[in-house]
Amino acid sequence: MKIDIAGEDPVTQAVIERLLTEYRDDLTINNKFPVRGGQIKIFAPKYNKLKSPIFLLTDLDGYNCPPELIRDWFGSTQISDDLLFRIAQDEAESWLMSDIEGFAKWLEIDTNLIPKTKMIDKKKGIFEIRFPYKPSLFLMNKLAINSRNKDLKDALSPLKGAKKGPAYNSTILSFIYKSWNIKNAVKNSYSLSVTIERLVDFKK
Amino acid sequence: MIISKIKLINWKNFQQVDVNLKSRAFVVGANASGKSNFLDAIRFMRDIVKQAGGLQFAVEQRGGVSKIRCLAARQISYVGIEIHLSEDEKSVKPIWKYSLAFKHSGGGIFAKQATIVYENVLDINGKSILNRSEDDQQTEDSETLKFTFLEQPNSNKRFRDIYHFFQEIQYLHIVPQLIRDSDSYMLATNKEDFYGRNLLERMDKTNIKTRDSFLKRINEVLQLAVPQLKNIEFKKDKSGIPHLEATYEHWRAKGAKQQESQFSDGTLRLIGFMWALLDGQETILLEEPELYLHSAIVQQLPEFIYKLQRRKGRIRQVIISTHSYDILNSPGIGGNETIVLSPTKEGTRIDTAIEMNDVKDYLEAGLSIAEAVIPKVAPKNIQQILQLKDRD
Repeated sequence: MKIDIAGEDPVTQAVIERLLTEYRDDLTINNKFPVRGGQIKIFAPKYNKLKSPIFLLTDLDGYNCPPELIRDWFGSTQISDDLLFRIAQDEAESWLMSDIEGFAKWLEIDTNLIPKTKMIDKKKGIFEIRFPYKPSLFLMNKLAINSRNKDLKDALSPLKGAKKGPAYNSTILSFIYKSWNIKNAVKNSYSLSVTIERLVDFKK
Repeated sequence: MIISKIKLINWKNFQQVDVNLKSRAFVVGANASGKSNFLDAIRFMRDIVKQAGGLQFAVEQRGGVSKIRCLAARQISYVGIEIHLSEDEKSVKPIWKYSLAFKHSGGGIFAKQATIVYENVLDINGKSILNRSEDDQQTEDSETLKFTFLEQPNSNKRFRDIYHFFQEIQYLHIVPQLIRDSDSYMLATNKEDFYGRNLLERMDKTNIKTRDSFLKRINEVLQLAVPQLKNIEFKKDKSGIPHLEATYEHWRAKGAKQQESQFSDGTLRLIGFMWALLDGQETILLEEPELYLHSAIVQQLPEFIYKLQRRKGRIRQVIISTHSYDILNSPGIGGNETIVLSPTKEGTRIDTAIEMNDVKDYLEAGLSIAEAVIPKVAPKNIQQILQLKDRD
């Protein structure tokens, strides 16, 4: 079966690709929708009208919880069976850093720089790493800065006035494709584990 | 008239294509998918009919039949082009159908050349006006098969219309460097018609009244696009060499005069581009009009072209090759105005966007042509360009 993919930035797009390779090798990617920052919210209702499979991954970002984001993006419209719509809590970067050991080793930092996993809702069994602020910012400002690898540090630390490090995407993409241990990441991210469950069951 | 259909057999990277064209067509495809080769099929027809042109000239310009024939070619050995000309995009029947097929002959002690396999013309009623075949030994021999009837005024009398149409076709790829300094560039033989080399010459040949009215319109546009440049004029220097001159405004009250050699790349492209659209009547081929222009200007191009096409009650056909998201994101571009090139092992396919099932769904779901088509023509693994490592 063919599937289109759409992510809100190159990082979410690469995460989708890696998840597909790992868990659904029966799905082949048909088209990758262009990543144009900030537009994904406008596109989401259009993707929801497609009659062919599409995987859309976005960050939770400013919203308090996933239902709030879904209401804001789709209103009262039902999400179609063809749309696998997933929200990374709080960002795709959280899923990457949830592979705590692997990420620390790759970035050449001490493991305990990455915050501990916390139970958020005991009844529902929801747990995530609680970052003090936006995970991608934390990654750049707290973790990369302490990297013993100068190349990674330079590539990931933003220059004045920039939102991301000068080679942020390509550096993180290389981690996603080559080093990210998803099985270990699942242990620290409920939202990732549910996404994988939904992906495994998608259109079956 | 417009070119309403093109069929190609073994033409460069197209093994077999059949595509309908509207009066505005956007040709979209990845790098090296064959956008220029597609336009080149039309330029080839023009090379056949132009002064001092002809079939042998047109083939030679392109390096011989072996360079034209598709590498993916299978059973069919010849190269074929069929072009339908219609009154406008709404006509049901084409006024003319012209088809030409040729193959390679010669070699050894014989000069290599193109030999016609067939040449046919049908009129609006489907009546055959010309029907030549290499098998017709009573009328044809190796010498006659070197020349199309189309290129010879003695034999194209009954379809002179086609001859004039192709003569009028314009190909526009503005190279600012060539406008600035038309002598400094080496002549690339097959690119002799890069626009720019002769733009000033052309302006010079245009009668004064027409030239003034064209320049007036160009000035109106430049006023908006390049506000600091005022009042472009056509002037000749002491030795009679034509120049463009404009006032460049700065803090001094009178500003300073600038000539074309000082204009920016974008300014020169805009001038050349507008001149070409204003000058002439028949189909115009625009290669990547977005180059050198600010994205705010590029976004306006589709509607701008739409307006310039419509002059004096006629609609002039414009065929545009482009990579620009800004152009294709224009909400007014239709699915059948967009021609999508997709490379395959059997040569490049051509479809109109609306014929592609997934694109049709995307458009119905509300995506623009850019959103629906650009992912299809983007290289699949381009982000890996960032993962490449230096090797010592």
